[in-house]
Amino acid sequence: MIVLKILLWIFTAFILVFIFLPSFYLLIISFEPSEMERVPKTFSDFSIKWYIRLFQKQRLPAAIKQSVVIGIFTAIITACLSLLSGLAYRKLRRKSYFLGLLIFPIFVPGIIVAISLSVFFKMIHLSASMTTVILGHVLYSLPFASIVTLVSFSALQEGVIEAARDLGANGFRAFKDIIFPLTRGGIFGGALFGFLLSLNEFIRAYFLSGWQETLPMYMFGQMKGGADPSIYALAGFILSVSILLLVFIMLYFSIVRSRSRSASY
Amino acid sequence: MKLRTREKKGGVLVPGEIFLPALYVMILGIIPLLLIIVWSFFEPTEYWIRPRLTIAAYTKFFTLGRYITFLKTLRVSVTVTVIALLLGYPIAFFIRKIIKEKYRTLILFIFIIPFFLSYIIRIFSLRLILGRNGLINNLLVLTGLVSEPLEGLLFNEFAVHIGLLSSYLPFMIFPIVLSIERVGNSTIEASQDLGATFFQTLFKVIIPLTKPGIFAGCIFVFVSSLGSTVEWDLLGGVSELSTQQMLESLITALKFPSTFAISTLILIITMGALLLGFRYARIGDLFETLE
Repeated sequence: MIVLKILLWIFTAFILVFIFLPSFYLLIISFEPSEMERVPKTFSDFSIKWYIRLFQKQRLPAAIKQSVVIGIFTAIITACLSLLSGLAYRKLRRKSYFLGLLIFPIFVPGIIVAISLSVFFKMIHLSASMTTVILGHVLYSLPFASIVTLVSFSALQEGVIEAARDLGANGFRAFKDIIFPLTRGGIFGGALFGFLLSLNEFIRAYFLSGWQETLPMYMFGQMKGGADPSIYALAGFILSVSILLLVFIMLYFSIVRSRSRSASY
Repeated sequence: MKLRTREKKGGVLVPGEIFLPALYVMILGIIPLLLIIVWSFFEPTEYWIRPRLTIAAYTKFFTLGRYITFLKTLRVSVTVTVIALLLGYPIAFFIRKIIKEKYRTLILFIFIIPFFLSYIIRIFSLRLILGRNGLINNLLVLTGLVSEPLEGLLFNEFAVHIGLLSSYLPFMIFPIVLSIERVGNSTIEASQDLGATFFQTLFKVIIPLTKPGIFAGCIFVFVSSLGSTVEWDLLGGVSELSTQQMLESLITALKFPSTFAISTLILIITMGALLLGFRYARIGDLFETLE
């Protein structure tokens, strides 16, 4: 048995390396000052030369701005929709059908979604633009955001709301003072999900956007064509930002959860 | 006696709030797919399609040899799914049963991070790692295990497999972890009390009980593999044509019915797998875990 446990530990560590190595490797390479793609030979070789070069590039700030703007819109819309889902879910009788509908987009291969959406927009004469990209991103992130939001809503006890009603609160009050504070984490988590997924999404943007260049598209173009190592700095930058945001989510989540645990009875 | 002055619980069949999200998914998620299925039976015109029914797109699928590429992509997706299952199940088991309770969220979190990191970054980095001058070859040459860098690591099916696995393994792990959660420790203890060895318990009790999670994980990985373009584009090289690339070039060439036909076939396969899952592996149970 102990042998098995040790084997599993080693195995898991190996798999973790497998999953994380590419990202880390890229991060380390981004600090190598020469044009070669390799690990810096010594500590003194580490340089942020490419990061500096990165921010001097022309098209990049525009692409970043584009991605962030789209991300924010996606986050807001996703948060609203998943909030509504959370509110509705409690009162639903056939819960699983609704959940199934919300989750459905995950089960359609990405490229098919991209094709179907672009063709659909063409049919209703909505030309490719920021709007179409946002719509696609929301569709993509809605399943995940909904799960997060629904999980946090499921911690909501009906009794607390009834108590609020008994004390005279109307629907809106109940939401503002009871439901929202308790589920804030889930809603916010859903929004953050939307933002992160949107930022990193590529396939949909590729098919849906016209001339608009978003960050992943810019990167993809660079990678295919072969560019200077500042592309690695870009990757490293995105990596760090994403991880920071994720850590932020986790901390927020754990704080909120401990708060709501002490609030429920 | 309680005064029922508040609204009846569960009495509302369809609350108003449901409409917006449900409508959104239906209009943007389902209707476009239905359109594609229907339109795959139309005739192509120069720039679009015309509403005359024909199965030309589907016959072309076979006569033009497109089905070969299709089968290849399918095969790769299935292989990746199987490998992901073999790799992922032990990990899920490890996370759920061996790691202590308080570290569990942390470890799950660690496994979910890659999901949020742009997969373009990861795949591109794999290109560097597997390449002739890449990390692996450098290490191999450095330690003297090989005299010359290995050529066969990149720009072939092998690299695509690695890329797909690296991207989607977490998708396999999560549903299985959820599923293992539902196997109570008392069940396992009961099995062992009745004399089963660890492996007997594993194969006759735990695995059957976690079928929903296994199926969900497999579906996730399978669907994601079919839908991925980046892995094939960046790691497959010019020699390996993928269905995704085929779709791309078809739609750029404005051959819409053919694009739709292939898409419809993919849809049929994925939806079919999903339906199987709901009927036989009872994925519905998995959703209840979310409550």
